[in-house]
Amino acid sequence: MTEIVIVLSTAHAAALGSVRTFPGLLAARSGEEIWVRGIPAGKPDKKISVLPVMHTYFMDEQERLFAPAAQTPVAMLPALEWIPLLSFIKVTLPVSALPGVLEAPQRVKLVRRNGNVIIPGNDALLTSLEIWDTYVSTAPLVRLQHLYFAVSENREALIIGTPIMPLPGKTYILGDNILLPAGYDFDPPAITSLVTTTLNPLHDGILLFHENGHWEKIKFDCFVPATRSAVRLTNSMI
Amino acid sequence: MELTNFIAGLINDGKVKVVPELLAFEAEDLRLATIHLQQYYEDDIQEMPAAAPSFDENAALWAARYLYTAVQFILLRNLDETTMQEHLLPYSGELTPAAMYSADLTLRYLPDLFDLAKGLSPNDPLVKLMKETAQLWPFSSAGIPMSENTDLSVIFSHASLKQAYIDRIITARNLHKCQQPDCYPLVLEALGAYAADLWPQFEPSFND
Repeated sequence: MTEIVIVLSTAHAAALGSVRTFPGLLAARSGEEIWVRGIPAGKPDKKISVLPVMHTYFMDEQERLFAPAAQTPVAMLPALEWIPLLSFIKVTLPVSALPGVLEAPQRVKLVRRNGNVIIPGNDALLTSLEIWDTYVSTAPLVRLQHLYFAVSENREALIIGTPIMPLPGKTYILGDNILLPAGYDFDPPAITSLVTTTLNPLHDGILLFHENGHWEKIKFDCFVPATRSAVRLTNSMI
Repeated sequence: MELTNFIAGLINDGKVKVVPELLAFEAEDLRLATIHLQQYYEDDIQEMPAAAPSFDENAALWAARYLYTAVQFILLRNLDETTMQEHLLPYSGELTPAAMYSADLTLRYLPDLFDLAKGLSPNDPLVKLMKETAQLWPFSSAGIPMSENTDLSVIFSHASLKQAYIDRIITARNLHKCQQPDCYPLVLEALGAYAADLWPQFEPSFND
């Protein structure tokens, strides 16, 4: 005998979850039954032994099925669509509660961080195009080479990168492609990943949040390297 | 249109061609070359800090001709030193910030010529002549080692040139030049509190 074949009721499919990672196991559905093959002959693993099986067969190389201790076959292995047990039993994440129904959409709110928190270095600055242009005009090139900027129609410049320059404007902290005003956080902070997956599912831009919870998405291709010519040209066109 | 094509090649794709004999440039060629240089100047000042010096047509044209002829002398090794000195004449005008910057439009490629001429002996008259030129035009040779006696007064007399010169030293990571007393405080100011991030090798050299 080469292997053991077991048959379970589909009602007990979940029980196969405990053995789904065993190597070599194949499963197939046949009506209200689930057939599992690929169990090595001999003494099977304890987790397999405790499965609520309806039938157990030993199978020879000709795929003939024998009842335990029987000398003559009782059937041939049915022709089924065998797939690895790993694919047959899908994994779903457990839920801690029944999903609720939101009667009204929840607005994203920002709150000031409480206590003496250490704010990491600023990652972005929102300032006016005039201030940015004046700075870039005389700033050392080495200070600009790691900066990128985007400009809005109302002549506001958002500069990201390091080292951020000490200019008048609002400073922001970058994380998960979200720019939050320095000193602010989401309320509650744990919704950061939810905000990202909901508002920026393609990760193709940066979400700029304002203190009042309003936000805008700035696509990555709106940012250009902070060269003197780029800033001057932008200033002359807007 | 040898000089015009030379400038266009230099600006557009960094590849140049020169004729294998020393011929005088035609008047029309010089006129078109000047237009090319003026256009290049208009584009280039967009990247210059503050207000760039004005365009000095004579200096720009002299530098383009000088560079063209220098390339010829690198390739035509049968020409003697006298011929070289007759054709690679120094700039005769006043060395102003405008002249310094306008000449730089093409002289900034002079350091690359040293690479091209590295097969030549250090005592080769052409190499010596090019070194003298580089010494006289320090704005164009910020990235290469030069004598400490280089006169930087013209550069430092103009805010735009001064900042651009410091930018070039930092871009070339030229530790030797930034140690010069005139340059060190400006490099330090440019790097500010971020020297360790922007140029990690900068500070240790001063702690030695």
